Amino acid sequence: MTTQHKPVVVFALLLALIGTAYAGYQTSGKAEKSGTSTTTANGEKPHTATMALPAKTNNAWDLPPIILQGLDGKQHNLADWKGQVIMLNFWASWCAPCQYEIKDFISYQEKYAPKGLQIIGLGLDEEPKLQNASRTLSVNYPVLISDPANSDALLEAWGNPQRIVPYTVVIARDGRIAYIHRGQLDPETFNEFVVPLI
Amino acid sequence: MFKNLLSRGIILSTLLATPLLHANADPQELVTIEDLKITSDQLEMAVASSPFATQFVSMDVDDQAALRGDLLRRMVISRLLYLEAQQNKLDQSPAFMDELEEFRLSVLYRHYMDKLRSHIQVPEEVLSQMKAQFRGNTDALTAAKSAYTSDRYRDLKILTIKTLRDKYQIKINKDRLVPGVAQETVLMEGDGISIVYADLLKRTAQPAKITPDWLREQLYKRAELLLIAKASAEEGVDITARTEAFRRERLPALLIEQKQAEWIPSDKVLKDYFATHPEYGMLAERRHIGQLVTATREDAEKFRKRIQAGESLFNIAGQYSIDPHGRSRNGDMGWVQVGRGMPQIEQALTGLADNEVSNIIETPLGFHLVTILERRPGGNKSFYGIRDRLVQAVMNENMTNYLKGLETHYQIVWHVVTDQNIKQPTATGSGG
Repeated sequence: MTTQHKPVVVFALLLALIGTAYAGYQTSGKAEKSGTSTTTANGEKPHTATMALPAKTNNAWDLPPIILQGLDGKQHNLADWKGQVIMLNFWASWCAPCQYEIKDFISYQEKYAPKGLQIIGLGLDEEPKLQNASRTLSVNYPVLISDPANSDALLEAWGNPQRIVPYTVVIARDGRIAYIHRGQLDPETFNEFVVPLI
Repeated sequence: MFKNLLSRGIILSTLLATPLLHANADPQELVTIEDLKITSDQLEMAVASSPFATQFVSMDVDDQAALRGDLLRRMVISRLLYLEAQQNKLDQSPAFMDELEEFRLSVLYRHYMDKLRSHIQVPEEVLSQMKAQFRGNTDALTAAKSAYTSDRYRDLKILTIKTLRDKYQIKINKDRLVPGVAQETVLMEGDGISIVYADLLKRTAQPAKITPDWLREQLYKRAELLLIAKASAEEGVDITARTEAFRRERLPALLIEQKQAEWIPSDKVLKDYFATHPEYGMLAERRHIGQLVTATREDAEKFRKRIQAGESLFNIAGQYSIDPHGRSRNGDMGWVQVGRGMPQIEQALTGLADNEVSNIIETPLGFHLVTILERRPGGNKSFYGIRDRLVQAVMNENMTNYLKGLETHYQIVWHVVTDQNIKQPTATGSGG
């Protein structure tokens, strides 16, 4: 019995020891260089590492409207969801990180929809593939279809001319673009930047 | 009946509906092989860790079911080989037991070190400084956090090893670190732990010349592994699930290795096989083909005249070919082996000179005009050029029969409702 507990004590001791040694730690200059300062066109800083949007606005409803067909076969306008916190997620069926984050998105939608979160998928892919992926992953929010061959203008307007997927734009209730994320969005980031808006 | 199940593509109706990646609250038993179960969540895990995991998500329902069926079939085969390997006592062979022990040590080590790392937390004040500095840049924040953790982990690791050395009263015999000493020379010893010279040579690829420096490095690596694994084991970590998974993976592979040595004891087997299957060495002539397909004979005649008058078949195919694949590639069909095309087209190609347009060929797909751009002659490959393919062929032939034997020897029960064309087998087999 006693031998089994010893390592735990050793552990705690070591941690305490190291803790004091690092009490005065400052983040290193190395990491500092990778930080980038960004500002949108009107001077307002969205909490994001992306460049400014090309339009001289930080309000989603001043951008060219997104009117696309959904996987449900109906025509949708992004503005139909105006007033909610919108997470507009650009994705494609062949993209593995998209698939990983979609699993999280499904649980966010389930948990926060009653409080006013609306996730909208924007699939840059062929409809049958998006249909299959949506079915297989059990996606529980609307997915709009954007033909990848004709989506340049849309992607450019929304700050993603490089066609990165996944790419997520968070729109606050007042239309303000509160956060833009490139790449997979992890739960920590969601909790830090999206949850406070809801 | 079993051979049907294992040799045919099976589409299992229950496999159609299961959504991927969502942990089934109540995993369903799909197949039992003796007392081994294959459950729906194991199958989903196999799908998720397969090379086609990403594409799988966007496939049609039928294709997904076929792939699930194929994977399930492979899992059944793997379990059969596992049972047979145990029956043959492969799990008691010294080589396997040594592998298993090494695996056990590495899992224990990893477990302890992961725990050590998980105890490191960025203090609140440092974290808030980082957050202020990298506001909005999550990547930079993550990098800063992991840089902090790595620094502390490195120091913590050194301290841990020092502490454990004292705890187990480790003594290192540095004076014995001489290349070529007796195999059983003890280089390190302590409470329930020891390393002899042979241990250092056994598991790593040796350099051209063994130097004292190399020996010292190996000794310290091995000592670290053993010390931490021992400390981890003393904490009572349960790693049976991991070692069991290792057995399930490794024993079938060992059995296949053993069978390969039995079925192909020397190259003579392969050469004999090659003698009766010369087609493995034959390389047919290949021709670079251009093709234009039209809907009517009139169109084909019209285009044939234009090509003979000097127009490019490829330009016309790019605009007018009714074959969408060919049209998108301007009629370039790539390199095609002699004998691989439709019979009518093969016939027209025979005797056709390069860069000449063929006569009109009628097939169910339409009216074709073809041309040969260039050719690569066929030939014969040497035995050594195709040895790997012969090994594969001989193994496949033997394996098919071998598996049939295993299928009747071990009891397989399919719990899923199978395709209607395949009868649900009843429990048969003598049991292992």
